[in-house]
This record gives sequence, C-alpha cells and structure tokens, in this order.
Amino acid sequence: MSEALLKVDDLSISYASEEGPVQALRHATLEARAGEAIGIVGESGCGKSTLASALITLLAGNARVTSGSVQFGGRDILSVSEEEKRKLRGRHIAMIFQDPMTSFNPVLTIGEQLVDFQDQREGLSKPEKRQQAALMLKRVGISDPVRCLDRHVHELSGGMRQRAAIAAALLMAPQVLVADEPTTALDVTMEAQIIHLLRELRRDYNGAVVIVTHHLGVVGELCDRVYVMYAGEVVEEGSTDDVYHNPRHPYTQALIACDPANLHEQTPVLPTIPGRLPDLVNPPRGCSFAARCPRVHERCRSEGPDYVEVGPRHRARCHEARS
Amino acid sequence: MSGLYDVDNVSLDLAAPSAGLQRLLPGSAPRMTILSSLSLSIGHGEMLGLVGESGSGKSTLARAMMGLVDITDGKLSFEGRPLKGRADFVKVRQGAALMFQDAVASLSPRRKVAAQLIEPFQINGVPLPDGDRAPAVMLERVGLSSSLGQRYPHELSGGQARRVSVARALALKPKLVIADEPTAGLDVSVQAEILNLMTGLRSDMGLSFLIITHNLAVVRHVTDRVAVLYLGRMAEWGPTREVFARPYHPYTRSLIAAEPQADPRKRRPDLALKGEIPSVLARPSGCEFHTRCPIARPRCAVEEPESNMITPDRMVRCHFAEETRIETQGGNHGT
Amino acid sequence: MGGAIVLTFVVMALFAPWLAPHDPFKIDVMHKFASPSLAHWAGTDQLGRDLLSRIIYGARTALGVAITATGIAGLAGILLGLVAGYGPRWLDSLLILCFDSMTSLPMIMFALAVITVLGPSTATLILVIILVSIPGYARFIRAQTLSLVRSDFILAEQAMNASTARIILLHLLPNVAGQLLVVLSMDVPVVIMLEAGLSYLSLGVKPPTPSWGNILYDGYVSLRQSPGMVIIAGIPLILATLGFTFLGEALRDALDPRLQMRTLT
Repeated sequence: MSEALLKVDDLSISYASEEGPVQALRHATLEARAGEAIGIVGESGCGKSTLASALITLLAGNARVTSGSVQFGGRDILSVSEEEKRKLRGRHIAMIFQDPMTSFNPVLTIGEQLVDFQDQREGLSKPEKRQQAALMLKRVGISDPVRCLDRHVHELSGGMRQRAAIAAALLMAPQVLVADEPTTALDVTMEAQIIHLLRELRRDYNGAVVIVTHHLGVVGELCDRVYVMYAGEVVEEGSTDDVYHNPRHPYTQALIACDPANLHEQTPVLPTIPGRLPDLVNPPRGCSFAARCPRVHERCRSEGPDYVEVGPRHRARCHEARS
Repeated sequence: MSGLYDVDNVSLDLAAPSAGLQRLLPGSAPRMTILSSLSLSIGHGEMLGLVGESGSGKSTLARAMMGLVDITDGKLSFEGRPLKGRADFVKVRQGAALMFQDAVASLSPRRKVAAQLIEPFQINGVPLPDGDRAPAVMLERVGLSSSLGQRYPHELSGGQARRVSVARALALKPKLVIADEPTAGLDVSVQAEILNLMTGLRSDMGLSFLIITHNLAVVRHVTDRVAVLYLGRMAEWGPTREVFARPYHPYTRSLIAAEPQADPRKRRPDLALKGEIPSVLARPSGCEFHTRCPIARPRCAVEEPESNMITPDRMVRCHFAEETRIETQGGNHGT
Repeated sequence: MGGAIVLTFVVMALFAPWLAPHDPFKIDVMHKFASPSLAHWAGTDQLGRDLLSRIIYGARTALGVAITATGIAGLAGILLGLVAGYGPRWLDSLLILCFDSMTSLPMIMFALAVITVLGPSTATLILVIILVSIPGYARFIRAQTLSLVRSDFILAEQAMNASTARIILLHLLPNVAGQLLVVLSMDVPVVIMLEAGLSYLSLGVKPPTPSWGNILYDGYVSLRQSPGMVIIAGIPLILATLGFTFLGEALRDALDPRLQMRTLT
C-alpha cells in the first residue's frame, strides 16, 4: 500500500467565543493515501467541517490550532505562509462545496473562471486553457462543453452546476480533492449521478479523495475507508465494509441503526440517539459519548478512552471496543 | 370513493416567466403546466407519501390543496365537500395544516416562538385550550422545553424548529397534516426523532398525513401508501410495501435504484437514471418520462399513457405496465 | 455616542427657555458682532442678539421641522409601501406611477412652486419636505415588502387563515419598519440641512424666528464684519448630522435580532 499523501496528526482546533474557546476538533488523526477515497462522517457539530477546512487550509478567522498538524508533501501546511497556502489550494488541494453556486462568481462566465483557475499553469496560452476547460467539462459529463463555457452559473441546472464545480476542482489535477457534502443539495437521481461521476473519475485520478458528509449512503457508495466523528473527535476509523458491518464504537452503531435507509421492515418506532451533544467549551472529562451511550460504565465518565486497534486499520475510541 | 381529502383530475397552469414586450400583451404569455390531470385521495388516518424529484410539482400540489395557489381545472374536496371559493378554504385551513420544508423560514422572524404557537387560535377565533399555559403545553407535547417559547426562530436548531412547526400544525387539532420535506436538512438521529414524533401523533390523534419528500427511506419507513409524481403527473401509486417490492413504473424503479446504499456490499455499478427532469416549459410529448426512460419505445413519444388500475389499489401510468407486471411476477415465481 | 448627541439636541430643544442664557430675540445694537465672551459664549450677531441662545432656540425649529416631517413622511411611506407591496397588482401599479411622477419633478422646483403658492412658513416647509420624501420611503418599504411576500412565513400565515391586515401589521410591518427607522434617522440631518438651506434662501422659516439656516444666512451676510459667525452656526449642523447618522447605525444593529446573535458568536 502506498504512503499517505495527506496526514492529519493529533490536530486540535478551537474557536474563540464569549463563553471561552469552543474545542471544535480534538486530537483528530487521519490519513488519505493516493488512489484512496476516505469519508468523514458525523452529525452537525461533530467537527467534520472544521476538519475539512483545515485540510484545505481555509480556517475561519477566529479558529486557533492548539495542537497537531496537517502534513502534506513533507511539511505542515497549516504553518506555511498565506501565499504558499494559496498556491497549495489552487494546485495541489482542491475543494468541492455543498452549494456549487458559491464556488462560481455570478457575473463571470464558467469559461472565464475555468481559464482563471489555471493562472498557475505556465506555458499555456489562453485558447489552450479554454481548450483544457472544455475537455474537463466533457470529462465530467457535460454534453455541450463549449456552450457551457459561455454560460453564467445561474443559467445551469443544479446537476450541471455541481458537475462544473467538480470540473473546476479537477482542472489543475490536484493530489487531494476534498468534497464537502457534495450531494446534499441534490435530488436522489442527481445524487446518484454525481456519486457515479465521482466514482468514475476516481478510476483514472490517482490522488486522494476526501468526502465529508452526514449521509452514510454517500460513504457506502463512494469510500474505501471511513472516519466517524462525534463531538470533535474521531471515534472510529476503518474500511467502509468493516465499519458498516462490524462497527465497534457505540456511536457508530447508533448512527447506522437510526437511519431508516438501513431498515427494510417497517417498525413502529425508529431507534434514536437520546440526549444532546456535550458542551464543547467544557468537554467532558471522560468519554465524550458517555452521556448518551447505552453501554456506559463508571470508568467511561472519569477516564477518556484510548484510540485502540480493533482490527487491521480499524480503530475505535471506546473502552469496550476490544470486547 | 370519498377520502378525507380528494384531489380529482386537477391541473394547474402558471404564466411562464416572459421577457420584454411579451409581458405587455395580455393573453399572449405562454403558460406552463405545473400539474396535469392529477388525482389523489388521502384516507382517514392514512399516511400517504408523495415522492418525486424537485420540479415534479410536489410542493405546488401541497399549496394548491391549502388554497394558496389556484388550480386551473379539476376538483378538490375536503371531507366530501367540494372546495369552490375562499370560504371553503377557510374551513380547509382549520381542518388541515401545512408544514413547510424550511421550518425556520416558516416562522415569522421577529416574533417569539410562544406568540407564533398561539396564532392559529387567535386567527381562527378559537379560545386557547390551556389559557396562558397553551404555548408551554404545545411545546411539551412535541418534546420541547417550555422555555423555548421565549426564543426567536433563528435561535432554534433545525430539529427544534421542526418540532415547533409540528406543534403549530397540531394547534387546531387538524385531521390532516401536509408535511413538505419534514426531514430535509436534519441529521439522521434527529430525522428519526421527528419521524417517531409524527407516527406517534398519528396513532394518538388519528391524524392523516401527506408526506412530501424525495427521501425514499422516509417514505418506505413511515407511509401506508405512496404516490410517485413526475413532471406534474402521477406515474404510479399503491401500498408502500408493494410499490417498493414490485415497482411497475420504470421511473419508480429508477428512483428506488438511485438511493445510495450505506452498505458497501450493495453498491450498484450502473447508473439507474440519466439526465435531469425536463423543464415544465419544454414538456416532452406523449409520456413525459420517455426522454429518460430505460424501456422507452417509439410509441411513448407520441401517445400519452392511460392511468391503468393494475389491481384495485395500484395505479400505473405506463404503456407497458402490464408487461412489467407479468415480468416481475414471473421473476418472483422463479425464485 | 449618536444617542448622546441626539439627546443633547433634544434637551436643548425642549428646555430652550431655561437653557438659553439670553432672550434670542432681544436686540442690543450696542453689542453687535461681539466676540465670544463670558456674557455671550458664542458672541452676538449683527443685531447684537446672543448667538448661543439663538442656536439653542434654533434646535427647536430644526428638530421640530425635521422630526415632524420625517415622522409623517415615514408613516405615510410605510403605509403606502406595504399596500403597494402586499396589495393587489393594479393598486401597486397605480402607486408606483404616482411615486415616479413625484420623483421626476426636480425637488427644488417643486419646493419653490409649493412655497410660491402657499407662501413661506414653517408649515409649508414641513409640507414640502413630507411630499418630497414620501415616494422614496414608500419605494423602500415596497421593495422590502416584495422580498418578504413570497417567503415561507407569509405563506404559512395564509395557510392558517390569517387576514391581510394581520399579515401586514403583525408580520410584514415589524420586518420592514426597523429598516425604515434606520433610513429615517439618517435622513433627519438631511432634512435639517434642507430646512437650513431653504431658510437660508428665505423660503423656509421666517426671521426673526431663530433657525440654523437663518443664523447661517445672517453669518454669511456679515462675513466681512464677523467671520466667526458662519463657523459657529455650522457647528450644530455638523454635530446633528453626525449624531443622527450614528444613531441610525446603532438602531440598525439593535433592531435586528439576527444581528445581535452574530455579534455574540
């Protein structure tokens, strides 16, 4: 297996607030290898968006890295200069957003922007860059790429917009592609098409793909490995198959159980996860899931669990994970 | 047959957005058909699911049923009484409630939650059931703390706002709740809570629900019957369990196949449905689904299919429904 | 900050008879063009009247005219704007036609015409300002209303049988009035300037009533003898403009519950 392209090591990030620092991400560890698609899954407030913005070095103004690093190309990309971050983002790490409207400037045509995105590519004339853009649009399944180049973003349908956004992200052949909820704003049929497209693109794209989503279905369809997050921590990681069929963290188990998509018989009451997220200004001393865990022990409340190996490349942050 | 709410052969046209001089010439503006010869019946105590992609006319139907948009043709009736004018809809709005897709946006931004909860009583001249405690009682009924009444809508989480809109929908003890995408944008665990709340209320209060959604998992789990809408026309309807087990319309089959699977072992390598739903301004001839249909034949482009009652409780609008039915049952027979 | 300045002016206007050290009308030709002194803090004008007292009494005129005019214009604007935005289409078209024809008249010409017909007086001045400002406010409210009419919470109200009056008063008004209040408070100084300007042209408040415009005019006429007068008369205008603008900005932040949230998080 190849070396990790992108490596998050013990990363903690907090946001300044009036009540004190909100510890949105705590000691997260993650790696993405070339040719691998990983999923980061969790519910709102779990820290997945913070992690994603750290991966593309686009942290909010009030965010502070309190420990750890994001390693890419042999250095910590969170501590390089703004100028270098910008270069990284254009060329090596690209992002697809949930709302493709926001990734395009409404007053410029798609073509103008796709040419602009290639400004770091030297030795290519403008018509050649336009040619490249058309090729990429064709690659993402836009049937009339030349006409699409002359359109504005609002003239495209929802599915087309997301395809164009994917084209924009892949234009510079980045080594890491981060997709934040790439299908959440779409219908089922469009979602299936975008999933299909991303899966196809993966075949000849040798970089790493990071999918951030709250939807287990997207992970199941697209990812080789999955990281499950809860209250700012990565609570479980493993191959998608292992995590779905043999989840070891009680939160992962609960998350899978309460999705009606996983039930094939009607039941009068769906399983839920009772209780609330812990306060991230004062995270609990013990396990962060203790207050909602069906199998909680005395020890869970006082002592934070280690991140233990439960199988090959399968780890879980739970005292009970091994049993 | 008379259900709680009957939609009978309803069509709805709107003036197409036109540009420039065209707008100044009355009557010349092109019309676009949003709903076309749509029939649907919601039974007493029934939970009916309405599915389809965005642009299929689901939300428009919900608004037409509440009298918020006028239908062009056909008949709506509530509790057996045909709805003809404004006065009839005043009664509908007392006996049926509409929950919007964006729960936060459906609450007035500058009024506190408590004030908004008692609006249905004030507007319709109904005395408050619990006096000053009414908002608190209503909030507690949907599992929220009564202190939430003092908040503004933007201070609620997605799940809380959804519960508030359930509470307000239930205020006048309606017989029918029309819920437009009741779980859109919610986390799965919160989604499960909202669905449990709705199914619980249904059995406690004998409510009927029309659940409009594009989330098939939700429909499959909570509804008794499901109706599939495509471009303003009904493609198929029938008991949920049967439709999911044996979908007869190729569109229904594609929708079910398009659902992402959390289990990586169930990945589907092929793509169920290509292309996008056509614009209502360029409605395809014949069967409107033929442009994307995997089994389309020349006939589909010219001839509109009839509504075909395959069994007394199943309708399919497809030229080849009968063939599909024999095929799928033959298949079942073989296994 | 803005509030404090505005409050100072309001206090000045309300308690002018007690605050003013001298009678603003008392002519004392022996002491004309006096420089600021202990007896006359801001000096005296060409007739020997105490300038500070005239400025204090001028605040009465300025605020009286400005607040009455913007207040009435604002109320009328809200009413017409809501009706245009939420009412039937034909009424909207009719109102828009009226607003457009109003705004197409050059403002000064219109003011001169009205004043010529009715004669210069404080009441005429207020009327002119009201007529000139209504179309702008109404258009502003109409635009705000139109952006809300299609929103879910208005549809939700309709789905609960809410009457048009209820929707306008309880749901549209609170959402548009805050914005207008901001605009209004920022317009008060504009109106004060307008009053000063028209009074300066002898088309507004008639002398000897003290108004900031009249004082400015007197100062201008006597520029040679006493250059300080113009400056002293200009200071309250500048302060009032700043004060009301700051107040408007503070109001905008305070009135929007969503903005309050944003500052917290």
